Amino acid sequence: MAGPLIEFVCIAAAHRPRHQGEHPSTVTVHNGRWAYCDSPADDGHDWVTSGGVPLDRLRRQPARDQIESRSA
Amino acid sequence: MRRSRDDDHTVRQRVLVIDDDGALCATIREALDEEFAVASAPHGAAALDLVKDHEPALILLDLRMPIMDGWSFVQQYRRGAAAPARVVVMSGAPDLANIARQLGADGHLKKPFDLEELRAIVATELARRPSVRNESGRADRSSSAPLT
Repeated sequence: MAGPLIEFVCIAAAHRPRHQGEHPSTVTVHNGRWAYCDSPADDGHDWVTSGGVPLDRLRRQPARDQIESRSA
Repeated sequence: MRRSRDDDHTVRQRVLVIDDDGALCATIREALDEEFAVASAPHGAAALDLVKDHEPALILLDLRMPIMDGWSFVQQYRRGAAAPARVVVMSGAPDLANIARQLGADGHLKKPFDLEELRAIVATELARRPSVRNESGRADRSSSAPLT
């Protein structure tokens, strides 16, 4: 089961993984919706709406890349 | 037969959420508050303090937390609790089912989850909790004082 979609992703440069597949990441709640950051940081997030992305896809591709490929 | 004061009120079972994510704790509390007495702790050490005086029936446990993580919490909690609560681990880890098994948890809830999914696992795990006999010999599944 895919579960609910991630509605916000963090695009803060400082939270970008140094290499793909780096863990742990953060699954949290932002504005009452599920949110994802590639980093385990507690703060300093820069949340943008994702339009709804499955968590597995975010795990395969860093969050910022997801947003950039969506707007390209 | 004399009825205790507890019998005159709807007894709300206690649920303890242990997660350093304050926004998630608030969301869970909001989702369960009507039916359960919900408290939260930001890490395992704070939770161990809390359970000394207020025994929860169910614990929703994050794994990665500062100060004391979920693994350490479970080890210490199982050693000390007289009537251990059901423990459900919550995480976004891809291998959560395995982690939960290794931890000896009763259930697992993968983040992100639907609130319906949350309510369902809470109800299921509480229903599985064996009755605990209190001092008067009355079978009880929870105590009624709120967690603060």
